[in-house]
Amino acid sequence: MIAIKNLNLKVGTFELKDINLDIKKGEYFVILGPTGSGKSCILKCIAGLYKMDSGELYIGNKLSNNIPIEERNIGYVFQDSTLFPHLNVYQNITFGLRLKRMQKGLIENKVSSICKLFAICDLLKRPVDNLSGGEKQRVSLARSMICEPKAILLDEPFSSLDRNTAERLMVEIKRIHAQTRQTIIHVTHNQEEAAVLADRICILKDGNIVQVGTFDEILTKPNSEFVADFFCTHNIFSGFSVIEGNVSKMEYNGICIYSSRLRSGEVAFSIRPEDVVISLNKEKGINSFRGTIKEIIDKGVIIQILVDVGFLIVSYSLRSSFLTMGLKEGDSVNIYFDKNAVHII
Amino acid sequence: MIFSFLLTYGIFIMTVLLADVFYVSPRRLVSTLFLSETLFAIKLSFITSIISTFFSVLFALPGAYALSRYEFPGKDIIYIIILLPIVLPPLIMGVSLLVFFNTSMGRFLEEHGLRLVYTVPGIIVAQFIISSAFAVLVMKAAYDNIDIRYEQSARTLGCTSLQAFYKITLPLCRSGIIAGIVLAWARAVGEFVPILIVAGAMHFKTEVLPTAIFLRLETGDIEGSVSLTIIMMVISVIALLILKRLWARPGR
Repeated sequence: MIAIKNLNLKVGTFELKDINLDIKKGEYFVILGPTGSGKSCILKCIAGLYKMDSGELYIGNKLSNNIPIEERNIGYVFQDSTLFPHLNVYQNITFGLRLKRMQKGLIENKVSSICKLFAICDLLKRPVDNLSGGEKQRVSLARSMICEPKAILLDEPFSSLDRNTAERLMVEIKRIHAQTRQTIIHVTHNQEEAAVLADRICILKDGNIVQVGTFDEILTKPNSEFVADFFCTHNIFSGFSVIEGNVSKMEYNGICIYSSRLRSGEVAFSIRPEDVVISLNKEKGINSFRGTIKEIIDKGVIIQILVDVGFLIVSYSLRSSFLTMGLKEGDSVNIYFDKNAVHII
Repeated sequence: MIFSFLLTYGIFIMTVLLADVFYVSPRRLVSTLFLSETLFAIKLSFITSIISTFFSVLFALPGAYALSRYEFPGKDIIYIIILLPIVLPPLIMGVSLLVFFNTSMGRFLEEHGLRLVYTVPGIIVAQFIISSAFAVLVMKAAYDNIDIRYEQSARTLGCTSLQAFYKITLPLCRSGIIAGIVLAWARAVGEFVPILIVAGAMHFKTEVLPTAIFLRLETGDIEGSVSLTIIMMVISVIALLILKRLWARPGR
């Protein structure tokens, strides 16, 4: 549906370098990366708001580098609402259709169905200044979608909303995407949004694509320390690996760690904190160690526990089980993680 | 504290201006107003200021937009040059204009029909230089206040850049643009020194309102001069009231 080949772009001192992406029709594609990684630049190139320095952009198999913005038929929803303040909700939603001089009856039919889809029927006569942040973004989405664009680009659409509103809108967008299979490219720095919405994710760092894959693939098999760190893996180590039978044995700080993934030589490996299980019982077996709790960080539902087992390892515990165990700093505990949870980067 | 300071200053300005009103009798004011010379000066002031404002707007609408939205070499220098007439003493602008029409380029223009020295077009050019500067200043500020993403959204919804300008940008900064027009017109009406130097002060030919006030002062007709001052004051107050009303409106 949308393909980018060898996109290069320089904006001030920032550079996008050799970006290659292939987004399928009906896909919910999330571009994820820290602030300043160039996420929005990619969207602006697709929409035509930035002119690419080099590379090719295909929209629906058609080379579109030189197609004017208004002829690309790509919707764009900005971080903050860009609803036109001198028009009411109805006038905003029908703006694109009226430009095309569509028949009034047809416009009414389209407005009716899009309003039902976004649950905004009661907002139509309201001036846009009177809408809440969530309502504004719903109307912005409806305004883009009513034009039946080839793709909708969402540029950090939840970042100006409070957490509850953002979560509700996220669920709604997921439902609407499932219903319409509209191609969506969504830019964010928030892993949670990617987890909830994405069919596939592209991780961006300093203008370079680092990894593309499903959320599970990226979470469990990060291809670099940056990706692992970006997903708050915390436990990223490096050591020398030897293959012993059907496992890799890695030595780190004199301690042996086993992974089901087979690779030998100098490797980096990561273990998700939620895969590190803490217990009070002494247990034996591979990837089972005794250690002392060095630090406990209360993150609400999740408690982050730092355990010294000869090296420092982070574990996430649910609040309920943490309280049941009655853990405190200085306690001696056992940690365990499965060999499948050790990912060799 | 600030309130009393503002009040004192307001009273001071009003006292100065009202002194004019109490200086002349209403009968003299009316008789001056209906003198054929006064009516000619008012008419000429209106006609020239409307024409110069029209050209100022024609120049400032796209000019201020380009200065607000685009980056191009020499942008800052061009902006400073356009605004220069606001800060330069009016005398310098007048002398410079007169000198310009004595250069080879000025003579070339005169030979090809653009006669400005001691003519009505000369008044319009003198007014245009100052009023276009104000129009650009105010309109650029109005464009700067409008987030460019409104236009970008409109483009993604199917607008050409021209459609995005008149369907989105213009309505959003309508008040700012009208304020620019009013200010440009008020400055054009009040322009004096460059007009006096370029177009002279000829009765029934190049005599605009400020020139008429000056001519009366020169001949010792203080009451006539003050009467015309009051007439100009009324025009300025009306312009300011319109301006304030427009600034106060939403969608600026």
